[in-house]
Amino acid sequence: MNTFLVSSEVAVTQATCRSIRFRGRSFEALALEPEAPLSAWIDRLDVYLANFPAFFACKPIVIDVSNLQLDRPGAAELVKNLTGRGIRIMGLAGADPAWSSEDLPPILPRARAATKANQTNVDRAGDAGGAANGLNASEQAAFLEIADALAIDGRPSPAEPSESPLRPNAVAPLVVNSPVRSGQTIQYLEGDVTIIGSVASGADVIAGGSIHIYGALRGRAFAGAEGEAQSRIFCRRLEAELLAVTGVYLTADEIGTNVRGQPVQAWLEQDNIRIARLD
Amino acid sequence: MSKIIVVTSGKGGVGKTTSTAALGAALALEGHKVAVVDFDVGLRNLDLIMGAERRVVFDLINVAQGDAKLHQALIRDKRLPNLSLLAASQTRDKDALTEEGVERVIDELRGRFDWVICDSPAGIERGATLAMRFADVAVVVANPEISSVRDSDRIIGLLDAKTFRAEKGDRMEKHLLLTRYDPGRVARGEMLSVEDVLEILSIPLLGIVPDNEEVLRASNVGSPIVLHNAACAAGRAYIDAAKRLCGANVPMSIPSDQKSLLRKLFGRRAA
Repeated sequence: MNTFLVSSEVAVTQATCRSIRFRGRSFEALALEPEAPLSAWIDRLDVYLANFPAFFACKPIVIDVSNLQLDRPGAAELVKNLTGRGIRIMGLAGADPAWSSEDLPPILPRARAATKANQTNVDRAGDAGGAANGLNASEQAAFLEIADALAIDGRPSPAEPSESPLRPNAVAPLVVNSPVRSGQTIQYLEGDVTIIGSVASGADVIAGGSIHIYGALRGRAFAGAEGEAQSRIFCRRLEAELLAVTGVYLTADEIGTNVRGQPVQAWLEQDNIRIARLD
Repeated sequence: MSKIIVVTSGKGGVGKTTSTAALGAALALEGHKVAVVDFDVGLRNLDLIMGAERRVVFDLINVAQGDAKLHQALIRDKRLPNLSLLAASQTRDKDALTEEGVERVIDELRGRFDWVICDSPAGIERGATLAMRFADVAVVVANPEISSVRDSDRIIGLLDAKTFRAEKGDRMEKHLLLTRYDPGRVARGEMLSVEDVLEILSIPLLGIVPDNEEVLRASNVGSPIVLHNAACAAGRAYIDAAKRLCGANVPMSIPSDQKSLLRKLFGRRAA
């Protein structure tokens, strides 16, 4: 079991603005990873559900079938089995997108590569009070127990302690040692991007994490491109055409004159981009 | 050791052809053997600026496709015997150029000249990428205004990605030639300053060519500016730039035709 980052949110804005907003966003969900043979796994699940009947109730659950060699009817069967046990499934991960249909939950296009890192995040969250997952103490205990029970058969236990309980950042940042020229795109969805030099007008920098620019930012910067809301943009001199964090963006016109040309950082705060001078 | 230079800019009308002719003539004046090559197939201009338009028989396409020998197509300048022109074809388009053909022509030119200066067409398409493909040195021409600077930045990115040298992992030598510079308008804030442009492009400066009426006059009579009027501000700027290309350490200045106050005061001795 692990956390799973899912994207998709629909927000209907106020009547003053008639458009409908769609935005890719990440939320935490519990991902159940059934293991073969399925019947045995379901038996183990039933034992724990008997002890904690309401554990999965009203929780966002994603079923990750990427470790199972399932065909479409098999997946439908599994979904039916789990639904019958009171587990409401919000999405199916690791399934063939071609299976998409009414009788299956929505197929989630891709899981994050860093699932292992996130795994420990949830499992250790008990130490941090468990509030991060919205679990109370007894649920957290049950959660750990279920996690331990389900992850047998020689697979690494998800309950292994991690070095840093909060967001282990094992991914190496991308360091670019030259200016980014007009027309060039630097894309690194795995983590942070550091640029030693300027980003020219007409250039794009896209990072899964934060963006650090030791020079002028004249092009466009997209931090947290995969939904990481803690991502920030830092630059020595703000002349940007566009700043975006997790898809929330500001165009050059909307950037205040008080921060133009200044060393700044930009971050996401309550669905808005905030910009502050660094000095 | 011969060097292939590409004169490029991305944007049109910034002075690539004028600069190609002027640098070629200035290097030839220094005694080097120089060829200037027009890559602007379909919109050729270099022959006009060089005053050789009436002598074009064979062109770059003919040589690249093997229809003519290089020595048949090279046009020797009437004023400077060590300066030659390889014209572009006006009737064909840029698709007539192939990478293999260009490579063969450049290789052959390399064996005959000290400097080969390729006049790139505007844009970032086939003609421009082929002109820079086999270059050792790039002279990026820019005007002190934002659209030209941004286009030049794009070209610098291509020079670091699409050239043969860059693909081999070698460093592509790049120089900035700032043309149409008007110190008065810069002072009034109507043009970008040298510092602004250098800050954006971050490549070394080869020269600053002031906006000068003599440039248009020279091209109208079909003469590179350094041959037409070597003493004018633009002519001096190109001569200095050519010296810097050869590795000479010439202090950077913005040549001007304005007389100094002292000269104005003592303009002429009374008869």
